[in-house]
Amino acid sequence: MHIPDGYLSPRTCAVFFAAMLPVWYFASKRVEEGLKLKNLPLLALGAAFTFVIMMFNIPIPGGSSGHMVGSVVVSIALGPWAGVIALSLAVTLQAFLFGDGGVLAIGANSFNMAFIMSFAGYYSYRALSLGSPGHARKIAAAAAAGYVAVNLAALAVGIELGIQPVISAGTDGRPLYAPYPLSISIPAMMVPHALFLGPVEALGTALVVSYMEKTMGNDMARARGGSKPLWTALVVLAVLAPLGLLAVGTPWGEWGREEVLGMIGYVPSGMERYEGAWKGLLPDYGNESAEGIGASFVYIISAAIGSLAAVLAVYLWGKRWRK
Amino acid sequence: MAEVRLPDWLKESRGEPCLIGKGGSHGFLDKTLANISAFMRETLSSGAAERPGALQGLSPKARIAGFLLLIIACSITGRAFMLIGALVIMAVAMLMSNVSAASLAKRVAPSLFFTSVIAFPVFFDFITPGASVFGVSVSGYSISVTKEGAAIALFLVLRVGVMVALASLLLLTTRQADFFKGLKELKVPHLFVTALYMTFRYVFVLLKTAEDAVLARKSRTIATGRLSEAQRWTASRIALILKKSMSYAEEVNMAMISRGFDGRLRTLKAPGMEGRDYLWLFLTLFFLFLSFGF
Amino acid sequence: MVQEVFRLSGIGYSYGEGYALKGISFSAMQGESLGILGANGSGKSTLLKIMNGLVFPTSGEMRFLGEVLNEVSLKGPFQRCFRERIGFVFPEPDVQLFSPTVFDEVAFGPLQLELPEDEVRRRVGALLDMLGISALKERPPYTLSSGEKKKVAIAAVLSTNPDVLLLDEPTNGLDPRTQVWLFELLQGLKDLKKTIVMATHDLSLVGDLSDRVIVIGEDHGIAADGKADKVLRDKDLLLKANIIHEHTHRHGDIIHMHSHGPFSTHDEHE
Repeated sequence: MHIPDGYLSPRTCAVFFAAMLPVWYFASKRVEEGLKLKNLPLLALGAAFTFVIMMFNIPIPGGSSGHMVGSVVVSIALGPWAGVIALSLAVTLQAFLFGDGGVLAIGANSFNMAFIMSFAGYYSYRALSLGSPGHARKIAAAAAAGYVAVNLAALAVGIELGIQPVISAGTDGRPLYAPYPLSISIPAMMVPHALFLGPVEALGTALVVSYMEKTMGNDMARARGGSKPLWTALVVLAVLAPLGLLAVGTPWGEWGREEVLGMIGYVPSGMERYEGAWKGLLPDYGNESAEGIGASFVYIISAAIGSLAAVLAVYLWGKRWRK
Repeated sequence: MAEVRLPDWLKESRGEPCLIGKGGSHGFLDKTLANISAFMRETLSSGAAERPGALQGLSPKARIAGFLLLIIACSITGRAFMLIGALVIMAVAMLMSNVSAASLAKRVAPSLFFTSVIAFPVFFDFITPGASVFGVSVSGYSISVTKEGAAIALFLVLRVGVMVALASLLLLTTRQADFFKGLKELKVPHLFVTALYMTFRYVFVLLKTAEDAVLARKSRTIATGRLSEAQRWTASRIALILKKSMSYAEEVNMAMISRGFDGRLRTLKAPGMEGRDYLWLFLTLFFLFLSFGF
Repeated sequence: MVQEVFRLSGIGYSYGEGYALKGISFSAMQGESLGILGANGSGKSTLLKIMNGLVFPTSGEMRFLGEVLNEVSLKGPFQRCFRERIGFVFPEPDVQLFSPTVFDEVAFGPLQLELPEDEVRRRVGALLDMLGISALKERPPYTLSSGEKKKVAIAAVLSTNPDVLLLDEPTNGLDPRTQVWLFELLQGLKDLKKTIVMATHDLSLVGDLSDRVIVIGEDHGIAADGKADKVLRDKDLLLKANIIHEHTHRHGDIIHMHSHGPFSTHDEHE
């Protein structure tokens, strides 16, 4: 589920950071409203908790065991907004300190595991346990929420990886990042999640929620946020935002029929056509052969001058700041 | 209060020796324990971060910023020679920083292996058509490695390997406290960095609880229990840890308020950067600018 | 004139149906050393939290230096004055140690109170020296032993130079050596006329350090309030409050009771 560095193009990474920034901002505002003070420890311990449950192996039939992502448990216990922050903290820490997931992919990984899973899980749990559900229905709702959430997140990962060959190919049309088209990446993500990891998540979520309901009752959900329509609308918007940004970043309109087909089926023989399409989109400077050695040399010099100027600016700013 | 009377059966002892034989496994317990101890081993061994070296001598903020610039550059570039250039920079930095190649390789290996498995089919013509390098043909079915396929797959493996290695080298040469300090100095919001740090810190406390819970069960496991019972046990431990994390959160919050926290964090001013910090930033920035073009 | 630091009148605290505290009234004077004794679950931790303005009583009134302490007064400028003057040592040091290094931990309080940076560095350095933990300065708290953690937690509280110290189960989980160290430190702070309030069931510590003892009974109200030696000799009272058990009782006087505690301070401090 954690996307490592190198699989997503820098543009995709930037888009997901851009999408997550407002989510993080709104989430921290929401959490602050719900709790009287900025309750850092609650978020931090929520994140620490996710960390720890990822290490717990749940026994499943056949003598095997698997571990859950745990996002749904966290969002049911803390509420979806606090859940988003706690899970993003966990994802960030995993990327930086444990090499689980890429540093540049923190935005995308937070989007999948913190945002999608947290909200999809929380709202499907709430929707399925509307009214006054009995214990059995609550457990079923939790299981369904776990299953739905982890599969949606897997779908998101599949899409993110699958569009890479289309939106970020090299000048010659060869994929520079995740190499597989949607037709391969989606099933590759979905099949194991639908058959194996989804049931583990469902089982784990149901078991933990069942235990929480029995032993902790209402006090487990102190930080739980209500479901205001405005926020739900914002959530939907935010989900759509990255797709929209990707669409803007790569002119969909310029893709011919073949390219769209390529996106769906990745007709590999269409490579020559990509080349044509991409030549027009990318600035010329990448094309060494077209410009010759001289142009490259000029570019290197200007890069050196540019970075020198930037470091000088940092130095002067630092001097001023220290006074 | 009456004196405790021990029941008679408690006074008997077992005479016969224990028989050695094959027993049931408690796989999920051992796996959980293995996860926990791997985590502890990885985070508590400071290794090269405590040794003197070129990277260790940089200010935390310059070190983190420089590595981020290199990682971004490796993400942007479309050319293998840029990635190999990053590899060379890294090798030099590694040698100047007392980091052993083995410790770096150990961190990079899992990602590299994973990516190699993923990239493997890309070599072949059923994924990437093109000029065949070599191929086999068995009863009408043929399969061959293509030049294009090899280029794509090797490039992906190289890129992932270099990016993971960069992140690992940063980690290996940075003490955890310095890492969080560096993030703060890079103007990442203090509340976020503090929450990040606290997450890291309390993972240890919660893991201790988790470890004790698993060990307590292991010591009492005589026969392999029923599956449903094992699942219920796991759930109850996870819920226990959740409960503990919530009560801890409340207490830690009080401890912060008690010492004057009012929603605003105040920290000491960071020391400024020195010549070598600027040199490092220049080099990494230059590399980033190059990656825009190549 | 000696100032009245705390005045609690009819403090009660309830959650749901249960009571943690009921009708607690007493006052504490500046420089006084007060021991609060009570069995597990008697509500003494809650009482300390109320005295530190972390939890607010459900009934009654609490005053600090004559000012009413409640959620409203703690919002205003009073907050800083209050936080500066009171230090709270939590029973579990892990709760208190949330900063990346020992240095940051000890500097947290003074920084929050916006002391100048030089002053902060000076204070932290002096405290770490005094407690003999300067070598731990750059260490992250999770790598410390429990004795070291306790020392850092206390240093972190002392760095704001509080007039009042609230300690919840200070000797919990400490080895005998660290207990002796803690006793000597508290004795030194007491000589500096700091007000010390300890909640504990460590009778030896209270017997040696506290001028006055308040016993919280199992009914969550005050069972006794008086001079330390007088209260500690009242075996029937302590038995009723479930602070001692018969085995201790049989030995008769306070001195012997000590030897049944975790260690005997008498051997080392007389």
